[in-house]
Amino acid sequence: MNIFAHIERLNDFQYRKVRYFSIHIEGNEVNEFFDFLNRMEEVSEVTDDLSNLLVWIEEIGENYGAIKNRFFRNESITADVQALPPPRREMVAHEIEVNDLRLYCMVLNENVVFLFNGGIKTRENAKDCPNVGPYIKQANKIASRLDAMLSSHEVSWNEDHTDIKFDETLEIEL
Amino acid sequence: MSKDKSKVVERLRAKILPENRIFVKKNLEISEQISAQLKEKNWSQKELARRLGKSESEVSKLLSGLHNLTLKSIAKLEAELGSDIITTPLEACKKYRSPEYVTFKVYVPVPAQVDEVGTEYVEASSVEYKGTYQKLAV
Repeated sequence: MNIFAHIERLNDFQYRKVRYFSIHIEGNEVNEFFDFLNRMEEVSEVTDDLSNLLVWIEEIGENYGAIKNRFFRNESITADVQALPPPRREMVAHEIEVNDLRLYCMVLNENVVFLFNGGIKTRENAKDCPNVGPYIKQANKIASRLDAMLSSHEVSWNEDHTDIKFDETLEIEL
Repeated sequence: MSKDKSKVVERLRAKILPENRIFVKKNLEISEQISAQLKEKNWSQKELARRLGKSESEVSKLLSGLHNLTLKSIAKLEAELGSDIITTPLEACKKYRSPEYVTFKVYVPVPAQVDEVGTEYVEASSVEYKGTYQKLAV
């Protein structure tokens, strides 16, 4: 069965320097980022990490911008999921790490970031972790679809590349 | 009664403590400071990792703004970079309150004069003000 999703602007996460988005899988109550927050809300061990993560998202958004090489990591998740490094210029998923907590995302540029899903990493190799493994796979799949949509202009940039434009009914096949 | 999943952000934001804000803000300020110093020295993160004897991945964690940096790691970074990354307000006062003097010269413009055939001319200022003043700490 084909699974479809659409892009959702995170209205509570629109800042001076970064606009955050997520994807909403059809049939799910909330988008992937909210699903992550709802699941992690139930785990008391990560309450502090989750608070730090939310403040960090806000600070990066308001004061710093999404600087890829400094604030976001990708080496561990692309190496785990893909046998070969992605072709040059192709966008890949990134990882935000707070102790054992992992949130997967995609940094389009310093001003536009997609927040996906994640969890608590329990294995040395994230790919083998039942908690986060499926979300790494999902993040890379969505990143690849979004990359194609940017190339085909189904998702396009505004004039100064500080935001994206898209049809809200646009479907992403997962 | 089950929680409203769409209201999760409100619930989680209400749980954020002042210390969470301070932790992340200071962490990002430290990351920004290290990045500025790397830029000044023209060092990459890879170069810093090599000098610290750490992997690139470890250094990228240190700069992420979410890592719980120890004073020991900060001391190692300061030693390698050869300058402060963090300075306490008391230390900053001592450092930046010490007097610094600047010297300047002021030349006074002289109004144009007219010679006997009616041509305007300006004499170079013969009045020169020289002074040394203490620069105020900002």
